[in-house]
Amino acid sequence: MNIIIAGDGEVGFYLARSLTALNFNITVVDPHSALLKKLESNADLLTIAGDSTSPEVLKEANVSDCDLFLAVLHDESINLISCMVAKKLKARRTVARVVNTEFLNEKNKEMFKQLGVDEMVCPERIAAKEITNLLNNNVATEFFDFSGGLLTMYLVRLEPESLVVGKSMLDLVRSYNNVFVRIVAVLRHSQTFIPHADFVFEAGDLCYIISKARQQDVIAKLVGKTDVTVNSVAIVGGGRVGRSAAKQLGDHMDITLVESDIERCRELTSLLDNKTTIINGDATDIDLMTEERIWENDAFVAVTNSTETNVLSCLHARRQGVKRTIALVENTGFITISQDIGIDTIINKKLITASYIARFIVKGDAVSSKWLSGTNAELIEFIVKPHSTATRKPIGELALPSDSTIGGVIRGIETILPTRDTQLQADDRVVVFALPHVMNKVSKLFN
Amino acid sequence: MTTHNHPYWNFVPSMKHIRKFNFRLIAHLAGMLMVVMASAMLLPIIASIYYGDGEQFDLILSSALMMAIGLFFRNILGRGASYELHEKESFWIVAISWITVPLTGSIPYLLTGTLKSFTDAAFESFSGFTTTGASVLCQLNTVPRGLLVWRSLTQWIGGLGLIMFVIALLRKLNVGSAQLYDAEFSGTVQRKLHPRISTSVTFMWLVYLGMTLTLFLLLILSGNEFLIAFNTALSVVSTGGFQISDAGIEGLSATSMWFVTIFMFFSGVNIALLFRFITGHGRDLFRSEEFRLYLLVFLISFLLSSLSFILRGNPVKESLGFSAFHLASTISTCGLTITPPQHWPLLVSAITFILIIVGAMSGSTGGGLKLKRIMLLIRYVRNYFIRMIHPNFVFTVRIDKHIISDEYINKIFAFVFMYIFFIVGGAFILTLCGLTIPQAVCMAAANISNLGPTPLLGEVGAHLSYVTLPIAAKWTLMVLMLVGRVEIFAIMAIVSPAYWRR
Amino acid sequence: MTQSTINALLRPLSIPLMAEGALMLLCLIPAIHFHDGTTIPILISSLFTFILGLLIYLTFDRNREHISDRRIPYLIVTSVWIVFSLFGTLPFLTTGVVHGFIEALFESMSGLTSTGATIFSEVEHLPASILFWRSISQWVGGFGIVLMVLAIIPSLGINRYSLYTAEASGADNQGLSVPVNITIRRTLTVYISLTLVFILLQMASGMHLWDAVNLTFTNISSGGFSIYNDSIASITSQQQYILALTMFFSGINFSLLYQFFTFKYKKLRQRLEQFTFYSVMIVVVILFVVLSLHFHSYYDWETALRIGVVQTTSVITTTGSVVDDTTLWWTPITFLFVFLPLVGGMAGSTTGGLKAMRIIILLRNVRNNLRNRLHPHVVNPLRLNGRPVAPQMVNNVMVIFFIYIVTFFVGLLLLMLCGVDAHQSMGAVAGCLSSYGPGLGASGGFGSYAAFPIMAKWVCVILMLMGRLECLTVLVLLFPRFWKK
Repeated sequence: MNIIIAGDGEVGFYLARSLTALNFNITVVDPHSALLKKLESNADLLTIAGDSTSPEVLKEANVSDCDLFLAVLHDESINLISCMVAKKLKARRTVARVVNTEFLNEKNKEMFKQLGVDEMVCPERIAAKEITNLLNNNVATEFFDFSGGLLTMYLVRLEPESLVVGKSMLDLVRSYNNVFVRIVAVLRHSQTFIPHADFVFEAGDLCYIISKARQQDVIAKLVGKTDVTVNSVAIVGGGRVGRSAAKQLGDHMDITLVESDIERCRELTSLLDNKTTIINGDATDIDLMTEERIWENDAFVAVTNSTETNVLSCLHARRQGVKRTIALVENTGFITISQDIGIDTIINKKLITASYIARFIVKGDAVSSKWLSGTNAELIEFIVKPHSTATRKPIGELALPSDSTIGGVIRGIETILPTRDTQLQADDRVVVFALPHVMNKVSKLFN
Repeated sequence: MTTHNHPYWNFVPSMKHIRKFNFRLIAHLAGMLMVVMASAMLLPIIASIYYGDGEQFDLILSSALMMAIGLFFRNILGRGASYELHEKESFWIVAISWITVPLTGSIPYLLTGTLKSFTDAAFESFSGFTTTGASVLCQLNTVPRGLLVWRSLTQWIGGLGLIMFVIALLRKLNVGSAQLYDAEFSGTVQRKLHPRISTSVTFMWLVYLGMTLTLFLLLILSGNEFLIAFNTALSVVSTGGFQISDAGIEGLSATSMWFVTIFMFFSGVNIALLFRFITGHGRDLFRSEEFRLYLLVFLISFLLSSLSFILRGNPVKESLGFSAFHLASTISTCGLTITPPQHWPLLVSAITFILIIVGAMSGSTGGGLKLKRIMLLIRYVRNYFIRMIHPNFVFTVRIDKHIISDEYINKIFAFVFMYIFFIVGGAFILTLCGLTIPQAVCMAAANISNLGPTPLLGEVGAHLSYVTLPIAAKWTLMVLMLVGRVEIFAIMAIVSPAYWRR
Repeated sequence: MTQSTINALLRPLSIPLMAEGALMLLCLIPAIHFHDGTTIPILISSLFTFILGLLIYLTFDRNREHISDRRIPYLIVTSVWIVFSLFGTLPFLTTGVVHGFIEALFESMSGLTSTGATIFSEVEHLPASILFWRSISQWVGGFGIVLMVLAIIPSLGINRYSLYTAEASGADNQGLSVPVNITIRRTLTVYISLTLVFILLQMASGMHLWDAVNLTFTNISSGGFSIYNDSIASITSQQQYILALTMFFSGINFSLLYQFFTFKYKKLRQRLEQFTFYSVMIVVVILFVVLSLHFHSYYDWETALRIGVVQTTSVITTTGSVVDDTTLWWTPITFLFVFLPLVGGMAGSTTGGLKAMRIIILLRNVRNNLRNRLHPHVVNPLRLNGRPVAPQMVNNVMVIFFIYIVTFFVGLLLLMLCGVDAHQSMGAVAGCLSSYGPGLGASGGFGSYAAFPIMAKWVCVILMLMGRLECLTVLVLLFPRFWKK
């Protein structure tokens, strides 16, 4: 599949790099030739320096042969125009990144479709959606559904009072044989471990857990989290993300929104209904926060434009006893360290947008995968091919590399907790967690 | 989706921090190339058996030996190599491959006993792989046929480049192969033909293969012997220029000579442009400023040379034919030679010498400084002069409407400086070995630009043979060939102290 | 060309002409002293030159408007050099020592550009006045005609700095914290005092005043004309060593010497890189030459050392004094001697060639390029003496290097077209372009360019001019755009 990505920075580059790894043929159009040079030397793709609205440039990028045209620049009007031009030049499908959520109405969508923009993606909205999901699901700091929700992956931090702490993997398997829960990986001090029999869990470990759907209560018990429902949320930053999140969460939660710009506050009052408390102030102004009793909320979400403010205010909120903290981090390099110092969840617009777009590109290929923040390991769903090595022996006898583990198996609509004796069959779906260097070997087993 | 059958990606920037130098990958790739070479020995072995030159066992033995060394590199030194590649390693891969593969490629010359000393064998092998075409073999008719085939094969594989082979073969090696590609084409900005680097390289191999086959068939059709046609085709398209028999290229018929001339000219053209030409984007070829210059330079020197021969009283037909052949051979740095007509004018020597240094188009199999570089520098210098007159003149250097950054120009200047530096340095060592100054300079220039046979500079070096050179001179020339074929900076980088500092 | 441009051009031309006339008058002293019978012709050429200059000066005196056209300095400098060397032919022509105009021009240009290539195969029978004229022209040209004029008459109505850079584009601009005219005066002081000191030294070692003056003049200017057929081979070894020292000094940046002699060591220490490069280069080459003379050419140690030191210094400083028949030396040395003059001494000295500073910049640029491959984002400007060099300066060096190479090849091509063989052509191009002088073969060693075809001599004359003015100043005049309004 030929994909053209028109971008002007990180979102485009992330998409480009990730899609390259998926064996798509990627051409990147970007105005910054110096950045492109760097990108090209790091990934196998073609780059063209230029303006993505220019037909000349698009022709150079061979747009008539492209199956998917993605415009993910910061400026939505450029994205829309690029898509229109690309469509006229016979691009098969076009996707534009937009900011204005008004465009996403069904009616407007139809209009844009006629103009040549097939799909629109709004990162702020996706980020807000992610925040909503996370707050509705109060155990995990991150989660991901496989096979249409039959299996779910949770990322959970072990509390000191967790039942698991101090126990080894072997103990765990023995005592919880009956519940469908499997810890596939542990992130400890920025290092990824695949727990084997004698691995002992510690408080503070971030665990990747695979489980059947709707088993949150079991997991909550395991990791020592009291299953609190979030009823009140403090959102710091009234930008697009903050506003969307407030709007989505406002139906069943108490929202306090803190914004430093008074003009923006006024604007927000008309955009949000009266249920939301809008406070004008700076999130780093601790006295003000205390005065407004921000720390008494169940959750604290920091989504200002400044990563530093977000991270620091979340840390402070946690110190003050807020149970859930979510921070928006713009700089992808800081994700690991932010997680390390104790913030529950990191949201990165670029990553989730890229992830979102990538997900709906590979839709139909029936195989999904999940990037995991803080580790370079991957969680992949394989379909076991007939006559592959995996169908010949039970799991225990497969020479599965030690840096990988099978998290769950789905046969039809049935989910199976894999053990050493489980015999895989053709067309089973297998969720595998693996570090990148063994990925080749693992994939061979199932093909 | 192609060979990857598991879709996965990795959004989190890879942790580049403390990463060990990937020695294993370097050994792995070099080993793989050796294995490929060993497998390519099959052809010489078949030829040897078919022509009954009696050397098939030696060739099989060399193949086995190369295979063994290759496997040792690939599977033992390079065991468990991860395909993670950084710039630092990409230089190493290029440099190490280009040193080890030609070294192992010298085994057949030694085992068949055709060349007695290791230096000679290495010289012949380096000369082949770098498409230089300087030879220490004499009396080619007594050399085993199989070995001649091997010699041609080394040129052909070296023509497009060892690393191009690696990239085409290893689709896994996608990240970082852009750097390899760059290093192999000595950093002249190349536009890829396809978003996938391995696919674009495959396209280039197809063009290359296509050209070789076409020339081969044309030569067969014009009534040449099978082996002669085969060797000539490989020698010409790769711009290697090994002589194929004692009679030399002149043994061919007149029609064949014209075919050879035309193909030599086109092997000096950027392969990517040829690909576009073949796939129906012919205009791109003629729109390319570099190609226009190539054409212009060729035509002007052709005219001057023909005229000066005619004015010296040589027959018109002979003058034209010789000029065309000689200049196509020189500008593409192919280096096939034919006996010159009587009364060699000095002008032709001078033109020849300048063409050797200038060389062919960037992205072709030819060597030299490359026209693109010269063109960019001339444009920069012109702008510089204008700025002397109009101090506030804003200028950019452009080629085919693309603006070239000052940084890149600086790189080219540095490159030219190093090129001259190596020619002068090489020539100095050659004078130490007893050559006269013009001989030494010509020989250094001819080898760094991968031309091979020393060009004729009037009274000098008409029949200057490589056979009688001292050992030190041969090794110097090998270094020059390597430096000319592989990016100078790649070779320099791995010996520079700055490279080793953190 | 507007009227005002011509005015601006002619006035600066008149002063060098008058100065040239005055210098020719100096040649009367040896003419009268040695009774060589050239008094009348010399007087005629001198007066002719001087009066012409005076006429121009008087005619265009009133035009004093300031011209800020960037083209004028290049035009002035180039035309001053051309006019000066044209009038410099007068003594040769009037005394009838040459066969044709081109020979006179060759000798005159070779003198002024301090090249030292000669068309006289025998110089000992030449009149003393002519010999002295050759020496004087080298002494003046070595320092630079325009600079000489600027030192005497500070105002020519043109920006001094632009003239300064047009004549000596490679001058070490670092440390130019003082006004240009002061720099020029200081360097001239150094130049004159060095000349005097070395004349005295030679006389102390037993040389006649006449020989001492001539030899010091031609060697401190890195020129290389001699008053003997065998150049400097027949003077005593002590005197040869003194000459070597003279030449060594001629290759050092004069403002550096000024700081040295005025005891400003602290400042001095900060700008020694170029000097280090220059002296290390000389020492290394001397070692190589001495060893190979001893072991390959079987000279005894004393001779090898003396000849090695003197000849190498002469080559690297592009002087061109010859102490032994170098054409018979081992090929590698000959080869070195073809290319080393192209490197030359320090910038801001009297030597020709690319200058050590440029070579340092070129080498460091290569190193920086390598480093940038490894750390693409490293901010590491090229440094000289610890201070960053402006990218423009680096580009300037690159461009000059490139033009040098191109000029070299074009010169080679032209000489070969004129029928000179490859070997001699290479030597002649290197010799003329670098202002070293002697070439290879018949034109090398104690030989002369007498046998060169007329066209080849023209090529050499142009090469000498281009080499002395570092190509750019001359070549920019060839641009059609230069002559557009």
